[in-house]
Amino acid sequence: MENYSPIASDLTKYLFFTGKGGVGKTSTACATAVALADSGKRVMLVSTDPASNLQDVFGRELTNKGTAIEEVPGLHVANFDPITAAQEYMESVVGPYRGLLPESAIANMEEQLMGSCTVEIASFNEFAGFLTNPEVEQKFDFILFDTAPTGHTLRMLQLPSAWNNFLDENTTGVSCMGQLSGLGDQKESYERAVKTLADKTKTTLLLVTRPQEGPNMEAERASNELKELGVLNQRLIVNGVLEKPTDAVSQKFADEQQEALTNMPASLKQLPATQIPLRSFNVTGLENLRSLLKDEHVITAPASLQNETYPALREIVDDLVRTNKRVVFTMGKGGVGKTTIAATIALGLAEKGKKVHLATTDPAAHLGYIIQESDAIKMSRIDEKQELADYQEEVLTKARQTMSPEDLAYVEEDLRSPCTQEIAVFRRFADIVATVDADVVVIDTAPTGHTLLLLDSSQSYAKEVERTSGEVPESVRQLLPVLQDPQQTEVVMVTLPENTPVYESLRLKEDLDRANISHTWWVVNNSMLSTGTTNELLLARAQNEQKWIQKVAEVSNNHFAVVEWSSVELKGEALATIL
Amino acid sequence: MEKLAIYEPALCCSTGVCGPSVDENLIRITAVMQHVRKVEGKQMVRYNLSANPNSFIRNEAVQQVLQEKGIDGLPVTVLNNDTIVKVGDYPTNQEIADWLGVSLEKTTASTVK
Repeated sequence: MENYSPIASDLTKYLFFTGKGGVGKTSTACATAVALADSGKRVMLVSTDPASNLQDVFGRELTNKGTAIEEVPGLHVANFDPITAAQEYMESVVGPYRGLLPESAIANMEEQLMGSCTVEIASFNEFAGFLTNPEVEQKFDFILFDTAPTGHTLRMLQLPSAWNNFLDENTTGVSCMGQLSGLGDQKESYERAVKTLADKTKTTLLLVTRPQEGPNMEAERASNELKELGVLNQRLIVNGVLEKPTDAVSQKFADEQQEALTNMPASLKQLPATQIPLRSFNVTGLENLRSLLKDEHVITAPASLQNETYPALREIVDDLVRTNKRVVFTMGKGGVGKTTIAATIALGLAEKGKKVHLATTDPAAHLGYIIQESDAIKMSRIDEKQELADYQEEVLTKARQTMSPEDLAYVEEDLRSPCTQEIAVFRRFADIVATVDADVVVIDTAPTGHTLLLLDSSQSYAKEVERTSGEVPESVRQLLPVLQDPQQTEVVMVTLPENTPVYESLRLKEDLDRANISHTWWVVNNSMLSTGTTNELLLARAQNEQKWIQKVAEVSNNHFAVVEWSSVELKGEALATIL
Repeated sequence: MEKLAIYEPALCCSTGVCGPSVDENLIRITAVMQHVRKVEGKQMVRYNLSANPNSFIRNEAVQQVLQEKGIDGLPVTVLNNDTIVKVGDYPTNQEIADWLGVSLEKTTASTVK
């Protein structure tokens, strides 16, 4: 694969970078923007990534309007935080009613506007603003975005029901779309924005991935979804390829990367692809940004690592036993290692004499390798796709009886939201907890605080059985109070020692706090630190980890464990090595 | 013009599907509204707490219910702007038919509570 070079790529005016959290969208977008500006173009870079550290990257304060970067003539950078925007929107809706409506009503309104959908719409609002602004179009040769709208958001906005309901006063009120009122003549602006997105001559979608299975799958999903919506001009950028292994650890690391590349989904392989080599430096500061995409090997000072010993996973297991926890979740974004950690915790608990039930959402193919069932450990597989399909069918069957095709389309789209997936899985999990005979149930996924709050609030208006005809399953009703009981439940936050993963975990944590779900422990997974590698690139990576491990230590009040990146495939008994 | 207004609690997605279970009432009411829309002289509207909070404030009767019962009092059904006909639960098809004087036999939804 050739190295990625923005100048040589024949890019269109509008560039969207998309990809799983942590793959390097922001870094790549920034480096691209700088390269294009250096070549004499007028560039506007818009960051809508709440996790992006653009102010660190460029070393200055930024606004959502666009700041000129003097050191890079031709470059303007705008930083937009959709989370803050969503909160501001929420406050603008709810604020005027504080004191006028009772507390419970205010709380009800607030929670509904705290979901990821509201954030998505805030982002979309921003995209559309830039995409349809004639001044911006004239002033700049290139406009780059370091995130892209999701398929779900775009599809939702395409449904006639969505607009009719929003504009029509006889309305059910699509609260999350209320922000689009900022766009003036919403529907038309939206249509123009989508038209630009789907115009191959105007927009390129750059799918950024890592040579790893998780990011590849996410890239494939996004690619297909957006392709369906007409966004056809797509490219793949594989970030962080380790080209020259120098020791056993880096050899294994490189081998895993190559395997992921070989096993890349077919649809991705069809895309024009380039790569960015793994670098030994952090992408902060303009010098590093310029170096990221250059071919020359950059010599950096050898990393010096502090010799720290961090707590091991066993400490967490011991604590879980000591405090007699009944339900243990591992929580975290996709790909951090929830399944491995959950399985290891299960193993550890079983070793201590507990009867454990491990429920996993990991696709069946992997699970048989991870752990063997025994007297001490029983397992259930939760097939997320099947649960979702079952739930969707259940809902649609009812809806079909009474709804118009238009409204049905709306329900169908709602059913494709991430919240629905969570709920479908949660119901199944609630069943398991209600029926199994075990001392501890461990599950490798957790619903967000937002979802739990939605479940919780519906429970409160489901107090008397007659109140709701929507059956909140009994098992779900029983589970909620258990989750809020710190004596019984623990949510272990799994993360990686990197910028975006830690940031994302912090947001998940805030969410849990809001839902009053108790959580104490954090696990930092895949750490290079104690692998003993001598490879320059991996050492640099390891050095960078220390800052993030420190952050986790602070946030968790020293209730954390660090799990080493393993150069062997972890399964069965081998899991015990990371305890 | 006969007007029936339902004041509902805030919902993340208007169909309620992202809740723990789909509230059948939401689906049923949507169907009923479609039907009433076609009848002359009859009007049916829904106000959602997060989308139309002003409506809640403007209607004194609804404000009263909210003050007394909080959101547990929702949904509140109001006939012709000032008569509260139901509190705390969605109206049945039969009730709607009676208040508005329409026939709802054509809508297939069962009279759930």
